[in-house]
Amino acid sequence: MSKIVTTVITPPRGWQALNLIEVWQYRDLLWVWARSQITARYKQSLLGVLWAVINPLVSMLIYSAVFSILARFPAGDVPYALFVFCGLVPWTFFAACALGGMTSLTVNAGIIKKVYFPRLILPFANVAMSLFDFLFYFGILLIFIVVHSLFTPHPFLFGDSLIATTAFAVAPPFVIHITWGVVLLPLFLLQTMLAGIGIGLIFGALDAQFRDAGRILSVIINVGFWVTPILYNTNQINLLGGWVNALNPMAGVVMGFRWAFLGLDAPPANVLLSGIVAIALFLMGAYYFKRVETTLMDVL
Amino acid sequence: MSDFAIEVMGIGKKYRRGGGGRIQNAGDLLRAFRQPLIKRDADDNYFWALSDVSFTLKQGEILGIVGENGAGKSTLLKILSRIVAPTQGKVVMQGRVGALLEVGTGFHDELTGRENIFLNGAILGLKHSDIVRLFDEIVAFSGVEKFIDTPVKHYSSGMRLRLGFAVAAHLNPEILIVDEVLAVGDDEFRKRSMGKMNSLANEGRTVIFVSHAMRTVQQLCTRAIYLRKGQLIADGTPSAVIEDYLKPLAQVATADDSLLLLLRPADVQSDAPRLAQLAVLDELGNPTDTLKLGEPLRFRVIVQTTRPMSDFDVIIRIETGDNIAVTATRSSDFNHWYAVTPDAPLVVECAIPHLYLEPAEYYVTLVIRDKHRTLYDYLPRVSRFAVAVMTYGVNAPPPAGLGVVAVHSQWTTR
Repeated sequence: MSKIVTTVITPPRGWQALNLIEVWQYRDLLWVWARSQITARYKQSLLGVLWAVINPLVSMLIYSAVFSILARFPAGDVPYALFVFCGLVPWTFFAACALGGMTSLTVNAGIIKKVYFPRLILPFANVAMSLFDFLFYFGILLIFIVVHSLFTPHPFLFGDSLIATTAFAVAPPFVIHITWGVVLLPLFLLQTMLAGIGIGLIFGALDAQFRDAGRILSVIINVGFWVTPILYNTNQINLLGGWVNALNPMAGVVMGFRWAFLGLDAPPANVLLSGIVAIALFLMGAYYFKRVETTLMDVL
Repeated sequence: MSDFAIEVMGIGKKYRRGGGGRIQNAGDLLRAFRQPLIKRDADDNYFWALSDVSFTLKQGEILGIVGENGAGKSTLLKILSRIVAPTQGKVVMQGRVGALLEVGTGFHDELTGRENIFLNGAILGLKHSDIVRLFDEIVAFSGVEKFIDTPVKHYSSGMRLRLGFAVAAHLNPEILIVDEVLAVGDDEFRKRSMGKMNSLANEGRTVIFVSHAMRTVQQLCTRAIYLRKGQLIADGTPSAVIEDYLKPLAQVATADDSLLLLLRPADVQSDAPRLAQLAVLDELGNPTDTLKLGEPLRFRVIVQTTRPMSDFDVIIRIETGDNIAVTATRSSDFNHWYAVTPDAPLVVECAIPHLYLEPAEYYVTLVIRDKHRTLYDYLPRVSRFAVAVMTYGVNAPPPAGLGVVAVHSQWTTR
C-alpha cells in the first residue's frame, strides 16, 4: 500500500506558495493537454499544420514589401525580408504565450468548473503549444537563411532598399553568417517564455474578473510590436538612448536572434536588464495568479 | 493519523449576489486592486451558499447528500473536490481524491475516442502510464471498440457517456466524489455505475454522492446528510435522513403564495392572463406538499387577468428532480377551454384520482395557452411536492427499482 496522501482544504489567505511541485506532478496532463489541443487544432482544417506558417509568412511578405520598397528601411548587409522574419519569429512566440496564456482560463472555464488540477497547467500547456508553432517558424527561418545564401533573391521581395531602387539589379550575395550567439538560443527562448507567460498570467487573472483586461493586453501587444525593433534596426530608432530596449524583454531577444542567425551586432550589455524584467514578470504573474486562483472560480 | 477518511470542520462558502463578483465598473476596479476578490464590499451583497457544515466520514462509508435545488449540495461537492475554495472552515481528507462531477469532462469533438480517453483520463488525474496499461480494458468497458478511431463528434450521446464513464470507472481513488451525473443515461448504464460505486465501497473506498433520487440514496448509501439553505439539517442513516428531508416540504404552504410576482420567461405574451396561485391539495382539499403513494392528488390553479380573455387551456406538467417528465395533462384534452375577466379570477381544479409515483420529490410546471398555442403564461418548475416513503403492497419500504411510476396491479391465478 502506498503512502496515504493527505489533502487539507482551507480558505485562501493572501499570497500563496507557488507549489510548482504540484504542477510537476501533473506534467502528464500538461503534455496530453497540449498535444490534444494541437492535434485538434490542425485536424479541423484542410491545410492542417500549414496554417501554422502561413500567417507569419504573409506578415513577413507584407512588412518587407512595405518597408523595404516604400519606406526604404535599410537592414545593413542582410536582406530586409530575412531581417524582419528573424524578428517576427521570436515575437510571434512571445505574443502567443501571452495572449494564449491569458485566454486559457476563460476558454477552458467549462473544464475548470468540473475538475480540479493546478490551474497553472493551462497557461503552461499553452506555452508548450506555442513552442510547437515556434519550431515551425524557426525551421522556416533556417530554410530561408540557407536558400538566401544559395540563390540570388529577386529584388522585389528580398532585395534591400538600395537594390530595390534599381529594379532588376542583382543583389549582393548573402552568406550564412551564424555566430556563436546560437548557443544562447535556449536563453533567448527562456526569456521569451518567462515574459510571455508572466504577462499572460497577470492578464489572465485580471481578465477573469473584468473582460476589459483582454482588450488592454491586445493593445499592449500591439504597441510592443512597434516599440520592439522588429521592423527596424536599433541604429535607426533607439528610444530613450536604448533604455526602452534594455527594459523591453523582447528587444534583447530579437537583437539576439539577429546576432545569432544573421551575424548582426550583438545586443548591448544593458539588455541583460531585460532578463531581470522577464523573471520579474513571471514571478509577479505566477504569484498574482496563485493569489486569486481559488477565488477566480467564483467569477468565471 | 486519524481514522477518518474525511473530516469536514465548519465549512462555509460565501458568494456574491447578482454580478457574481465580476468587476463591472471603475469603482469595482479600484476596490479590486485594494483588496483581493474575496472580501470586497458590504455583507448584504453576499449570501452563504453553505454555512458551518461539519461531518466526518470513516473509510468505506458511502455518504448520500440530499436537499432541494440550491441547498448547497453542489457547492459542498465542489469544495471537497477542490474546484472552489471555502470561505471558512477546514477539510482534511486521507487518501487520493477522485471527483466526478461530469462524465467526459474535456472531451474534444474533433479528437478520436482513443485520443479522448487519454485527454479525459489525464484531466481526471490518471497517469499516462496508467492509461496505457488500462487502455484495452477501458475500451472494452465502453463498448465502442469499432469507433475508437472515429472523432467523438460522430458519436451518439449514449456512446459519449459510455466512453466517459469507462474512463472514470478506471479511476482508482481512495475517496470518490460523484455528482448526480451518473443518474443519467439508460438503465444498464445506471446499473453499471451503481455497481461500480458499490464495489469501490466494498474495497474500502469512501464515496460521497449527491442525488435527487431518494431511491438511489436509500439503496446505495450507508449514511446520508440533508442540507437545507446551506445548513446541515440531518445526519444519519439514509432512511431517517430521507424522512427528515421529505417532511418539511409539507410545512411549506403554497396556497397563499402569489405567483404573480415571479419573473416570466421572455416569450410569454404580455397583457395576457397570469397564473396567480397554485396549490397542491390532498384528499380533503387541504393544501399540502406531501402525499402518500396511491393517494388522490388535486391541483388548484388560480388565473387572473387585466382584460377579459377566453378560449385558453391550462397545462400541468409533473417532473422528477432529475428533470424527467412524468406526465403532462391539458385541460383542452378533456375539452375544457376557459375564460376569465378582470372582475373575477378563474379557479380551476385538476384531480388525479390515484397518484402512483415512487417516493421522491416532484416539480410542477404550469402553462396557459390559447387555441393557437400562443403562450399566455409559463412557470417552469414553480412548485414541488413530495411523495412520502410508505408502504407499497405488503412491503415496507417500497422495493428497490420501483421506477418513477408505481402501478397498482391486480394479480390473479387462473
